[in-house]
Amino acid sequence: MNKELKELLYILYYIKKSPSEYISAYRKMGGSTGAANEFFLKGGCKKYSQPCLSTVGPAGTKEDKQYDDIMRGLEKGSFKAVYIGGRNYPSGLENIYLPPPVIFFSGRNMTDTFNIAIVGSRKCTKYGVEAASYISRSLSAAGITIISGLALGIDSIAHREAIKEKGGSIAVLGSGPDMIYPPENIGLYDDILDNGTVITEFPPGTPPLRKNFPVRNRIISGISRGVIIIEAGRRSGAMITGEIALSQNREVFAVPGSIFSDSSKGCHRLIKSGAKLVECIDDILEEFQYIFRAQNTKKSTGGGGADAGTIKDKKDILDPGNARIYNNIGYRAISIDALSMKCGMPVKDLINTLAFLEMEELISEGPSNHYSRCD
Amino acid sequence: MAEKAEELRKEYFFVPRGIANQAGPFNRVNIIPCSSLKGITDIIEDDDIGKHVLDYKKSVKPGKTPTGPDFAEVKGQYKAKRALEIAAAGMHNILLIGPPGSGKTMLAGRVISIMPDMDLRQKIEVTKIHSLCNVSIEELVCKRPFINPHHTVSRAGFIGGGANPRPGAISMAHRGILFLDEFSQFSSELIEDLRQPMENREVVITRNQLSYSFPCSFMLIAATNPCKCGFWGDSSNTCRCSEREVKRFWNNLSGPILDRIDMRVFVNRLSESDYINSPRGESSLDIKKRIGLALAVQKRRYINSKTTKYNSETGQEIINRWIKDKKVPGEIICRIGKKYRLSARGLSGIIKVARTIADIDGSPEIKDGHIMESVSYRAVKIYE
Repeated sequence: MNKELKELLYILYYIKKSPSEYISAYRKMGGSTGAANEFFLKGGCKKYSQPCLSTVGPAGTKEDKQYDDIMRGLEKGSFKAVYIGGRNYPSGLENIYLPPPVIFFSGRNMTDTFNIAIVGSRKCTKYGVEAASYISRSLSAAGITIISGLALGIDSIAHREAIKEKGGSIAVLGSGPDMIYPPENIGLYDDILDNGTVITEFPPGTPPLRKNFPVRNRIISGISRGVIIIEAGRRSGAMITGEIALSQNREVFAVPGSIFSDSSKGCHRLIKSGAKLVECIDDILEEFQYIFRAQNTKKSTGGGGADAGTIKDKKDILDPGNARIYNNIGYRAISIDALSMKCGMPVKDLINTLAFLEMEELISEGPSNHYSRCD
Repeated sequence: MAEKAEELRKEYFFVPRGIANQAGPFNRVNIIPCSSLKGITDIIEDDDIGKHVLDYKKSVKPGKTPTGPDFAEVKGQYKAKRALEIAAAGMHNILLIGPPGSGKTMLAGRVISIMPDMDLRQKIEVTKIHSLCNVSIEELVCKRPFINPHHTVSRAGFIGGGANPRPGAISMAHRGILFLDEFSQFSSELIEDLRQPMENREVVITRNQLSYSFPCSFMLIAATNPCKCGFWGDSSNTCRCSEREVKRFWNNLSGPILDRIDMRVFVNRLSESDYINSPRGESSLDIKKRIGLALAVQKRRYINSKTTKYNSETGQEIINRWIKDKKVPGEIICRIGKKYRLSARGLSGIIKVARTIADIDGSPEIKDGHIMESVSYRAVKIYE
């Protein structure tokens, strides 16, 4: 193992007391060159982030045990590590506020790929699913590496579509490299490792504590050139990532949604604050024109398994009875009772048409017998 | 026992006076009520035994149509009412999902009022079972049973048993409704115990090397909240549960039993304006009349079958025959199977419910519209 990495880990995880103790530890080590130097000479440990230091390991872990675990893991090869100033450390992270001194990772080494992050809420709507699919798939096809957080919802879709396009994906965890969270995504984790990387600043054994996630979001945007927020509630993790990205001077993109939808309120606020509104891939690629030729990618309505025809065609083939009901449904969810009054038809006559429209994916059923348009 | 006496062609049956009326309907056997053993010997020595024989028609008050809660009292809830109408017409099991106070219990309690009256044979069956638990029954049970066990009921109380085996709640609900309110609170053991009896429509209890078999052919109505706090999907957006908690809530409900419940419907919370402005709903009598048509069709259809009386009990061979005879729209079934990823049992369930909807509609074949309506009661948005 690299001597500098070893020294750095020693300082971070073995000694980790107050800054003054670091200084004395440094002196005790004889002021060796390499990472330890970087660490102290570049402004001292206060400048570098210390969430990893204050993170508590699994219950009952003694502090020095954490160091042993890391060493053992690195020697066994369960995971690898890069450090700031060393090789393969993501260049994007070097200039952010509070960069992580050490990154633990599994999978491919991180090289100088063109990274773009896709984030969004865990409770996403069907619209969010389709938007995320489309954007991740198209960016991947253009050779871009997709970054996200392995969370349920938008993150998972972004990773999955990138893998499907045989592109690389990087997942940034809020826990140690040995703790895969959420457990539903273990399969996705394996798939990402085939052609990508899973990284974290937290040492092995760190559980996915709530407070870790806002902190890890700075890494998601840090290693990317731009961040796309697909859907975000007004106060959600995805919003935090967006705001961090703005302060890190990254490009921030947001996908608009229905003005009635709570899941788009965060995105709309970002757009009002200056994030770029995204309708299609070109909106993203043209911001990086100096690297990419904006490809003429057509917007596809692929998601959701609808086989034949676009929505426009389907609307035409509705018979008048069904069409009347369809036309009374807007983008804002309407209850079946309200719809019955609007159409002037008893509820039981609406039921089979609504089921038919849902099967054709022209409308979408929400909970509590509510319906809204899908296109 | 009077039935047995009839079978054995005995002429006279001496019965304790208090419950003599229960034995009444068996008028091929002469029922003689008596108060004591000495009374029996007195009567036997009497030359004119005939005068002691119970005249059933005189002693029992004529069966009155039980009046009770009515569907007209429920405001709004048109979709749920429609679903219950279909469920009652074909004896399909149904799950009501909704926030607290949305009216699930109220609706369930009124389903008896739209079910057809029992025939004599069914009344006798039910009386036999009930008298095993409740000796004070004086007359024939005329009203279909509505059994609502609390979710803390014991196993023996639920499916039957005990030291001296007696029928449990599920048998007491024979020919009627078994209502499991707060379905999510029932322990998984109890729900698992339900599976076999629901399938076979009888429950077999073995005690001391003796086997007791109690019938239990009932319609299951289950009611539950959509999540732990009860407000998932409510328009007031007050649900406090995380996505994982909602998922876990539904994973805890038994998969096999849910798969056997062919209909699920969401019962919305009534808004304040609806509460004030909703017109009086259809009366139970009107709904009952509509169902009557469907019941007549089913009676004709299953006239030769020993095991099937209602569409919900239809076996797979009959369904296969329907498909072969092109009475079922095949293409739309395939699309539904693909889109909603249903098991074979799920698809059969959809066809059975569609058959009932078509019966209510007076249509001999099942059309696309009937299938689509049936699907809407199966593919309910429970959680994402």
